[in-house]
Amino acid sequence: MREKIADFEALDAQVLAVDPHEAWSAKYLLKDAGFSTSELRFPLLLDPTQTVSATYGVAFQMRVHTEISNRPATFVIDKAGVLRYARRGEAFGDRPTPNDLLEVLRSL
Amino acid sequence: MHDILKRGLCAALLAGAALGLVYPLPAAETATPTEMLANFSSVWSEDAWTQRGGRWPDGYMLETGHAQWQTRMKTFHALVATGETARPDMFTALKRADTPGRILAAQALGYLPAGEDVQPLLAALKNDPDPAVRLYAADVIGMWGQAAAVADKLRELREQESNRDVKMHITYALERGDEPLKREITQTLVDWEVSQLDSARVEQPAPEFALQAVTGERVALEDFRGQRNVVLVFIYGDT
Repeated sequence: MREKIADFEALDAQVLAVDPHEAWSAKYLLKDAGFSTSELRFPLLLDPTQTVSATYGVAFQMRVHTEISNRPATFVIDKAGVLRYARRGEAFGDRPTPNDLLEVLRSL
Repeated sequence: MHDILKRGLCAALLAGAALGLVYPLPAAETATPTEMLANFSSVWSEDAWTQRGGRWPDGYMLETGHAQWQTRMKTFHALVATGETARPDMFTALKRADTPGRILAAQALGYLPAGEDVQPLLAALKNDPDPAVRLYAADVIGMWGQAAAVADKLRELREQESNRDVKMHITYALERGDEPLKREITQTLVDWEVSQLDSARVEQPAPEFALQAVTGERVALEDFRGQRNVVLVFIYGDT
């Protein structure tokens, strides 16, 4: 996803990531995964109360890193604010590829 | 009304009450935290959790469409909305509830107004057999701004801890020191409307949201209206 960000921009798409932690622990987890916030190519939004995650139907469905957390999920929302694509993963790491998402964006 | 009919009606009402037909279980607004957690445990324990031998292994995921998580979110919201009067019940639950109840109690405690007594949390962090209870107990000590006050004890428990994730969360609490959870974060949960639960549907308006980014700025879905498409990716820390 990070490498393909120019392709998303070319299709008028803004990528937003949502993480269910507070800012300082999200930074820590990023660091643990080998990233820093300055390397992010898109906003990393924080949903520590999991309210947005619950609204989108992904909260409290997976045990990961010992926590009871979000299942992986990806949504595409068009410029009119209509939800056009929803994919809730069936397993750890089950996500659409960047090419899958670019295809969805081309079809809007 | 004939007496015999009255008596019959009374008997029917009593029988109905005994079956919970006339007096349904208390609504979330009037239930005590203990009742909320017991109701949650009865829903959560009876299927997926129990079928997994009483625990979810790391990486375990509910099937899509399974509604069990919705009860957890509603209970989480109701417990936190109750406010600080929920704290004693939740400390009791930390000791006595079943595993799903203890995990949820520990998670929700962090969003209640900070208490000064962290001994029940230290006890859970030391003794609870489920690592999620220990992990959230460590979080609560941090979220209440109390980690600096019990730093030596936390370092000692980190030495004894075998779970890598729990060790990391003890480290987060220690690094956090005395910085409590921002009250506006709790308010976001209290203000959240339960009717929004699982409301995203394809070909319908996407639910609005506004969240703070890790870099500080506030980002709302409506910022992109008429301007850009949005690809919204739910991650968990490291993906």
